Amino acid sequence: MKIWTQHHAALLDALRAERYIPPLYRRLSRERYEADDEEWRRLSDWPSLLRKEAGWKVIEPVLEQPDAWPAAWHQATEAGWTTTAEHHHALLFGRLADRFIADEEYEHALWSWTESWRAWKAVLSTDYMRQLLSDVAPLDEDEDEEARARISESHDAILLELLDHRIQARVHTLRVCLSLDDEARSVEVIDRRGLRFGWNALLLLGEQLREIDEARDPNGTLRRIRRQSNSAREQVATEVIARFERMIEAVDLADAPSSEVLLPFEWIAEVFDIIGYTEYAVTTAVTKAVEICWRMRKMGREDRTDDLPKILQLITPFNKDLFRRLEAGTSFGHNSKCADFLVFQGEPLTDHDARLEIFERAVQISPGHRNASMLLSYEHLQVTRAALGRAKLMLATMRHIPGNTKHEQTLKEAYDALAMARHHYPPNERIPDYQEQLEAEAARLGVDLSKWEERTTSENDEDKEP
Amino acid sequence: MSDKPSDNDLEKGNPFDLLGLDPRMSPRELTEVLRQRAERALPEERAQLQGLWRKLTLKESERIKFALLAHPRGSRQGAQKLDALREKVPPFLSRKKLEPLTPTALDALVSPSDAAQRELPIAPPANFPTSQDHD
Repeated sequence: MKIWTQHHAALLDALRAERYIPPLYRRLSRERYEADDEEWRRLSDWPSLLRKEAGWKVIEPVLEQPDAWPAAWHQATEAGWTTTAEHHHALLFGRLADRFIADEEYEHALWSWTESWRAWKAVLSTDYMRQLLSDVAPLDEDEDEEARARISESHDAILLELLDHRIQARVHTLRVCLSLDDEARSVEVIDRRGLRFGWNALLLLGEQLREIDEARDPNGTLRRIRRQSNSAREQVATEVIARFERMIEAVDLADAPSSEVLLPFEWIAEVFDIIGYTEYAVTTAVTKAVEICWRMRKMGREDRTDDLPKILQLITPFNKDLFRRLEAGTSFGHNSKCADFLVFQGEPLTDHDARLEIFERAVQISPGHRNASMLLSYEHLQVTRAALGRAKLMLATMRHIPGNTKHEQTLKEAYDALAMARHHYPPNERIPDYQEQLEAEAARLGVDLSKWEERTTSENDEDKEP
Repeated sequence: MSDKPSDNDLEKGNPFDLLGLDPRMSPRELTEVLRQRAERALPEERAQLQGLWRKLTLKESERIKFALLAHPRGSRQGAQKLDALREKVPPFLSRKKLEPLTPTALDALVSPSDAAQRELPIAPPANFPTSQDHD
């Protein structure tokens, strides 16, 4: 008589399930949930499998120690799971993530989401998955090679579609959090926590699947998922920007109250502060801000309200990001808008150093920018005027004091600043006046200006050397 | 907050998981297993089994989806309740050999009521019959 039957094995598996599913489920759900009947049914074969895994030695001794988790789980994962176990984990963590999302426990949801994709990554594009697909939907041996390849591709497509559902679920969540699903709904209320989770979930998925080569992913499944997660984020960001543009177009600057004018900018500032700046977002936000600032100036709204500085303040992070991109060469073509924005920012400043710095940045990013160059030219004339003012207080006899070069240094300062003013904006109508004053002071203090001219000329010539 | 339901439904109402079946089963095997279960089921359970069978066998692409989203099974038996499994297990039979019984004088102190028993020798005979005697 056969002593160990398949019923014995099934009974043993069931007894192990009874012993291990409750603590495992409790630990992996971060002490939030208990396994219900459905979970028991799904996971019934899992504990017997886990007991044979290398990671079991790590988690088994701490099964009843909640504090040891999730560190113990990560340690066990490092020891390695078989692909069959990872298939269990991919599904289990996927369900836990859904449950956490429904309960708005986003921190745990993100952990479960990441664990689920980590496990999928270990399962997809493996012999296990190929074998499973081939068991589930065996290819007909009578079919020719081409037909078999076509069927195999369609099976891969089914798998990809299933996984894409999870990505699209996050897109849907993001659209709800941002009120993008309903054009009639005001965007004022943002579900910040949901937005942060949804965005980070897609971002982390892209990160997890980065740098996967063809050898690791011959079917390209993992790389396609990565592309889908990245394009899902782009899709949401694009929708946000499109909504932002429509909101701006709907604003009547002549009559609209400040709250209405500022709303699109407040919204986009908050959204991208959470999800991070994209090139399209920064270029659009800066362009729109500059356009609306010009329109407000022309309509005189700038004088009636303080909307303009508020818009500049809201969009400053976008322009800083755009500046970095242009400077690093990762973006191009929006240099003048970036400089326009800096000019708007610099104009109301009263501190000379701050103005000089901001206009220099504008000219740096958009050489030859007319307004920035003009304003920078005037700031240099301020330096010239200050230096000439100090020079005028100096006695002409000072030049006879041996070793005294202060008068010469002061005039050199005025001379250089004037040269900069001329360099940045030659048509500056105040330049001839300061040139005249400089020459007069040079004559009074006995300083020959021509020596600096020669040097400047030769320095310029050197600059032109290849 | 609402969430897109499609894959959730596929997982939650997954017939393979609900029935504890091995996702690698072919449509023919699934039909056979579910037919056997339906024969033993109550009328309302039978209707549910028919619904799940339809979900699994009508469209191949759906069956593949359910199979990929079902938990792997170690055997094709399917998950069953503990009590049901206990009933299926045959009684335990030990192969361990018992100690041989050797009656002693002490045993005679407890007189068996049965007359036949009383006739039994209290010690083994000095000479056991040989195999030739039996023949």
